[in-house]
Amino acid sequence: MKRRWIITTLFLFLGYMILNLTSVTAIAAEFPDYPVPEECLQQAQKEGKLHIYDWADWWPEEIYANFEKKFGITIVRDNFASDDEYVAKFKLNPNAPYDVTLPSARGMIQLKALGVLSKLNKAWIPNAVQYLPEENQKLIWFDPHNAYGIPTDSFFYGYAYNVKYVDSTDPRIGSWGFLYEENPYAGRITMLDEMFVVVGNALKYLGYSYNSDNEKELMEVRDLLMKQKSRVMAYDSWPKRLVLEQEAWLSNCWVGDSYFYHQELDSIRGCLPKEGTEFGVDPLVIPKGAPHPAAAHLFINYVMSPEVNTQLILGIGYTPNHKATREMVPQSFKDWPGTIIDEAYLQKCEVINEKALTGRGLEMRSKIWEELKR
Amino acid sequence: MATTAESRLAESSRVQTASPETSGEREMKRRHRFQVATYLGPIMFVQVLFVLAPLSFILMFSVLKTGPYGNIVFELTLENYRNLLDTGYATVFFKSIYYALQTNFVCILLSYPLAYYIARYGGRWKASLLLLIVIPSWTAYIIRLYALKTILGSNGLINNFLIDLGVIQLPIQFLYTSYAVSAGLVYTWLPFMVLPLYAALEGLDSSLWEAAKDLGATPVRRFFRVTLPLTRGGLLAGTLLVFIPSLGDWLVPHLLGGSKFMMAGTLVAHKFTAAGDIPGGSCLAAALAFVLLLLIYFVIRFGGRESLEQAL
Repeated sequence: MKRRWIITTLFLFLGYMILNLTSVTAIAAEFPDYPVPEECLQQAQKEGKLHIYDWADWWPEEIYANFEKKFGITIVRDNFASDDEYVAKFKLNPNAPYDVTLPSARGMIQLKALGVLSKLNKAWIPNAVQYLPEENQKLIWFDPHNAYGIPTDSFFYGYAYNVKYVDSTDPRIGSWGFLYEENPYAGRITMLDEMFVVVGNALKYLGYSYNSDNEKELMEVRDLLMKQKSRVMAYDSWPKRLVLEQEAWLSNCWVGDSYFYHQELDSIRGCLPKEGTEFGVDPLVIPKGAPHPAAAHLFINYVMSPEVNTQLILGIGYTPNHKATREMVPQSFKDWPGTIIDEAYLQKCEVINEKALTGRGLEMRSKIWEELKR
Repeated sequence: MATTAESRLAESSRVQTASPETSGEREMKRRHRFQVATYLGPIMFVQVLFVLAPLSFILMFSVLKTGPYGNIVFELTLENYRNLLDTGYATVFFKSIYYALQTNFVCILLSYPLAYYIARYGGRWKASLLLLIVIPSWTAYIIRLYALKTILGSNGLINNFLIDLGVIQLPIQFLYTSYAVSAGLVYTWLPFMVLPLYAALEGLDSSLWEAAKDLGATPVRRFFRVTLPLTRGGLLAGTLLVFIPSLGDWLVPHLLGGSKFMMAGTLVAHKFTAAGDIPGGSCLAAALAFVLLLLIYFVIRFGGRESLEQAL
């Protein structure tokens, strides 16, 4: 009896795998993986090594392991836990010897201003040339034509909530107001520990620009945040444990993280607030001090191949920025809020810019943040 | 002729007798210098590389300017130090000092009886008992804090235990409160108070207690007139070891306080990262180091040199 069960399951599994394989090959024919020129491959293999500086505990490990296996190049990884930590490193050593790094849009803007990025050789990244869409490129003001960075995904902010504890019929769900204003979940709310994000999204909620440097508007934000603080359990940029152990019921996050949480806990829902938020990208860039530039180009092209990019997007739950990946992800993923963004919503979002990042905008944000945390 | 020969002989003999002496002396001196270098060299090297060099970098950065994107501009300015007088920073510094004092005081209250009983009644268990105090420090500090998080959490050990006993119905929020920050600081730095106190108590001659007892001193009087004055060195050494790190602590308010409590260390980290102002952060760090140096000076001045020697 038991044996028959095992055999049936095995057959079902095999059938499923074959079905999968055929669909994958069908898609693969539609979206080919463009290889790098021979010249790049040879030089990369001569270099033999690749130093990556990226986020700790984020991208699926197989992406790195498969690259090593496929090309016989050893990857040495070094991690950071925030954009700020990352930028501080390059401020202190502009020639830090990394081949590929993964800042977010904000990190990249700062790095470009510091002059530590080198221009990409697009001929060595044919996948990026083929698969990056035109429409987003207009929004990415800081890098026209992706000359310095190849965005591997896009990100948007929102919140995750646990329907076991949070009343899912509340009409305010769908707005930033649900998170920022008075609600019955005091002490069960976490906010991201990110100054630009918490301030920026509050500005969006109040109907202002994400990048505002207007004193009156920012003072309104300050009052909103100071009132909110008594309800906040913690400012935490990676509240995974709190969410999954159901200590936090309402959690400010990258909206992709809510998909990620949902995979592990069924009662988690995600929300992409209607007022709009920051539109950001996570570009792969090559710093000036890179000792293995060919291997770096090879890696970027590998990550932008349809198959690897789909694997990446499904692993992290973020919005695909790749023409093929958008088609290749399963329907259940497309249905999750924030994974496929329409043009109308994109118009409500803003890319962070120098008004928030420098001068008065930065000074006032710092002051608000220091006061909030005091 | 003879005299010159004699004098020459005498001279040569003097030279002969003198030269082995001086070379021996030189040899001794060289060996002494070699010994000093081998004993102190490695630690000097480490100190210069990991303490003095970073500190001088911080001092250097603290008088430089910040560019628009947070890049460091190599122009001298005292602007950062002027900004220190901002009342907001003073609040953060005083709060940190308050937390550090509180930690220190609670550590003393907990450590004295502990060290006293181990030193007096530990017997053959002394070594094992001390080991029990030290063992937690073998694990990384951050891992211990995460462990503490699971114990204090609303789904954690303490809350579940109290709920099972029926003492409470709903979990109490320990984590992310100022109490969690205080508890975390005490937990982390307690061994650094116990060990010097133990050393001081261990070195105390127990016949002094007997003498005091024979002369009719009550236990309280015995403690304040005999034990406390004689272990003052250990107490001050422990204070230095606990007060300094807890004043600059950043991880405890970050992990156990949910980043809602700003201590001096947090402020420095914020300046370095989110605010992107490395010179400003360096200036705060330099100010913090200055406060601590002042503290060490006063402890040496009023606590006596023996206290520091005991700490080392």
